[in-house]
Amino acid sequence: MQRRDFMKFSLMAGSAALVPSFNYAAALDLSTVDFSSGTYQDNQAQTIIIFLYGGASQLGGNITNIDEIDTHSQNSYKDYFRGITPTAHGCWQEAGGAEMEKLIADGDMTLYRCCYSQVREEKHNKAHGVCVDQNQRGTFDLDGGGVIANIAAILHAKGAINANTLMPFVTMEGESTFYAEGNLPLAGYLKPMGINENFDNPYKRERWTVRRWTYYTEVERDSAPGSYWKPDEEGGFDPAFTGEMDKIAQAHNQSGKIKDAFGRRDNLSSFIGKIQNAQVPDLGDDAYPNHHFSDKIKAAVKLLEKNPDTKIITLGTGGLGGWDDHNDARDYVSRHEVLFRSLRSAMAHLKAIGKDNKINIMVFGEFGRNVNLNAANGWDHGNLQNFFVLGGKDYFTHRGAVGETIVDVTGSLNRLWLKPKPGTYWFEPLSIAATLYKIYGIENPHVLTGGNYPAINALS
Amino acid sequence: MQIYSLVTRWFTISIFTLLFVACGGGGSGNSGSGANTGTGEENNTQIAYKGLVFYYQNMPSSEYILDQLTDSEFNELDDSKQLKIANKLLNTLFFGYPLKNLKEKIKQGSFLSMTRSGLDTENTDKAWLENYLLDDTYFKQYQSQYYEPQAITILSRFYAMKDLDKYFLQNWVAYILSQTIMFSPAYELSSSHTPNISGVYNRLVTMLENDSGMRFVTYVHMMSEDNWRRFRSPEDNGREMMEIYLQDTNDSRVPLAGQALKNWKLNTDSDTLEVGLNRNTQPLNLFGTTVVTGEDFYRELVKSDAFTQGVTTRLVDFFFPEKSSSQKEHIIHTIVSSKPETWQDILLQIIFSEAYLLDNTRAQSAEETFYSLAKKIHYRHRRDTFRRLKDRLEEMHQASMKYKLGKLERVPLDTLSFAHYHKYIRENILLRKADPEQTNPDSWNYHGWQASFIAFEQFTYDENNASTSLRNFVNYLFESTIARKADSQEHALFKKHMITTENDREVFTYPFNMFTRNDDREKELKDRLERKENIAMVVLDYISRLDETYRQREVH
Repeated sequence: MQRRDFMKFSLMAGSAALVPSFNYAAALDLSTVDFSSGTYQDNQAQTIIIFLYGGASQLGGNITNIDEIDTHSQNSYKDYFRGITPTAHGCWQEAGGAEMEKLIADGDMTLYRCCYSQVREEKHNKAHGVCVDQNQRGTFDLDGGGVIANIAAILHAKGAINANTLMPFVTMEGESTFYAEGNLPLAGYLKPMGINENFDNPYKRERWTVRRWTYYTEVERDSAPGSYWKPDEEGGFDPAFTGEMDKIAQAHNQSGKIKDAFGRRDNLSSFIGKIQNAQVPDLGDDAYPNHHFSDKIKAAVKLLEKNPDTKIITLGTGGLGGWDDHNDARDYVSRHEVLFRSLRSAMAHLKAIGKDNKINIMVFGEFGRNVNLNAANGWDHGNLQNFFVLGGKDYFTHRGAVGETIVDVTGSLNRLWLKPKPGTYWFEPLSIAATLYKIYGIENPHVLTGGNYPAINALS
Repeated sequence: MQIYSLVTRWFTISIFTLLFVACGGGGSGNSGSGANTGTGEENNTQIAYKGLVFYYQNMPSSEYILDQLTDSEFNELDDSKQLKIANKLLNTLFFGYPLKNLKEKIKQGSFLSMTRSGLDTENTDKAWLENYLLDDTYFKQYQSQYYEPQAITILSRFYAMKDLDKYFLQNWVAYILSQTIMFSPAYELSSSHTPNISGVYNRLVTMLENDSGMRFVTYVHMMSEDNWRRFRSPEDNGREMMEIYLQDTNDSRVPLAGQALKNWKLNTDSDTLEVGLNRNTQPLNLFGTTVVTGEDFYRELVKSDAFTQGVTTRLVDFFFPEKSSSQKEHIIHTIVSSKPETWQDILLQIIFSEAYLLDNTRAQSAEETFYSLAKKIHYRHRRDTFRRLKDRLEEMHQASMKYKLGKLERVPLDTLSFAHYHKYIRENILLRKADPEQTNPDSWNYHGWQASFIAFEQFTYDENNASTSLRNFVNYLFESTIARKADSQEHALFKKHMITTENDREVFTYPFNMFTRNDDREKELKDRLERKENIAMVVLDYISRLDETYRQREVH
């Protein structure tokens, strides 16, 4: 898709969307944020973010330049890989290309091929840590808050979520920079809740540790002789004393994450108890593959279905492996295939529960990769990556594959890159943050992202 | 050839071969004098290779520039602060003493200097210790790599070491380093294998035993197969070494590093490091000098000024995660200005400093909590305790030596990670009492704190004064575990639950009557112990709900 084509469906982005910003976002100033409760309510958006830690190669979704790449590559792609077949849209068939084609054909996905950073190019920055930080904060200012922490602060300040909103943010990857607090401290209930794909419930205190006879008062023991310590269904109940211990302990605990975690423990335990038994409809041929990563994304969809209050879930690709493919890139091919096989199932799942219009899935990482297949049959860090957006069809119009690339042959060893083709649509990685802000009702997300506009218009 | 004999003490054959090649004319020949001025083990500090000095004695603490907390300053503090500081220091070192012992040590007036000098003293019978760790009677020996048995043995060692001595310190330093991005064996990677865990860790311990300087230790590590299994191509390895040790993230220097390392690769045949003879011959400008070969690259990297700054930054970040950037920069600058050349120079300078002992707050790692508690509460382990500890660390996202980039966040406090942490400490340590009659070390009720922890001789009591006795017992449990006494609100909580008034006299309620009487003396002792355990379980459960169990606080 050419730049002008994209502009036809971009109602708000304007030409600035195409101009990378060199400004750093300042600290979050809520007074500068234009929030549309109408957009927020209309979209009823829920998001699953899959972050490809390590920096995934863009080739899975883009082998349109493969012949030229192979000509200049140190090692031969055709010799090394067991098949490098382009699909109709130039995706890598063996790396999940068939799944991508199906998602595109069904109007379920947009593949942005030119998420590229001119700022990093000029700063010679291709370091994991810094780039993860920037993408998850949505700003080049590493003192700024994370994107999700900012969304939490804004939605809270604008009254869209409050203390009664049940687990608005959930992480399946630990507390990443997405949740880093900036200048505005967040109330405990706005901080992410951690779960895993099995809905394990370490929040729950085992009955043998709570319903101990010594914890009950004589009055409590007399109130339900023989059963006070048993399960609820047999007349059991928690002794009041354990609640008193919690209360006094919390009065002694200093403000911070541990106090927050203790304060939320009981609610989290109940919450997991509620979603533990959620079922997946029969997805037929689109059933989730038997894979640890698929279990994660399946759990994420189940949670969003059961709890509309949850706005965003983040997950890495634990169980699938990291994407820092400096060597043995054949692994990448199978990993990418499982990723998209799982995404196809997730989309089918969303459709089966009637949520494909509301729930979206975003897939990206810190950067893409160099395209020289090196001596170890891998790729060094690069600066152009794909950004995959699925679902959320009430507010996203999916356009298939967007953006064209060219090969930048530097002549230097291990310096073979893909770059945006002149005139094609491309955007800085911070535009992904802007996209997120936009679908949650923030009308001027560029004030939070150093001037970078959404990668996809939220008002299609 | 002296280099030969010295180097083979730690190097794998492949690494030695590399050095030999470099030394024997295969190197650049323009990266230093190549002088070997060594005169033997009696004078290790003079041995150098092309300007890289191999050995250093640890700097005396009198030469530290970061302000150290002195005995006299410590002694001027009140008892409660002394106890807190001592506890903070010992927890940091994965150590602890039963309360009475600790108070006796503090009372001697030289707690800090004694602890410090103890770390320079050899007490451990290493041969006995290492045999003990490999004795299946006491520590279950796992044969399958599925369990990563090397990591289990390392975790077991800290529990089994009885003295806070030189060997303990060497292990602690090795452990800390192997948790960081600098030396993580990264067993989560498919290219890394379980022997890499012991490869990295044991080499660190061995090199520390031989007074190896931190530059030499890093140089050897970077060239090891262990490291190459983590960063697996020339440009990846070169990039990451510069970023990890020098904090240099400039991508424009990566091609130079890749060029110097062009003949190094991780062969997919058993993930083996292979160094070809097609070495680079083009001089490259890196680290302010000229580098040609891969060996030049690693050697000049550790010799560069940015190295000390880089590794100090990594360790300051590890121990002061909650300090502001400017506070950390001040600490880093101060340590760097003391010109540290060993890992101990940095680590000991940190943990005995005023900035650390008085001012620092941070979440405490599960290892710090577990090992210190184990020694304080007379904990008895099961045969599989450390396999379980290793598994639980993974659930807490504090897995030991697992992550490719080490523990970027030493103690994740997201709700799920912390829930696992709390659950482990509460259910497996504080609420777990050992059954003294159980003799099977595989039985579930074999492990836990032992009756000796709550023996009457551990605290003052008065059988005619239930309230005072309870108060003393509660304070004993608090001080033993979190180094403070209970306050009035907490005492009131326990008193209300455990003491009642009968005939205008305060007495224990039935479940907590540790002074219960019985004509049968044996029965009386048994009943008293059981009631005392009931009290302890309640109090320890409460303590498990306090952030102080999982956090180190400032001491003001």
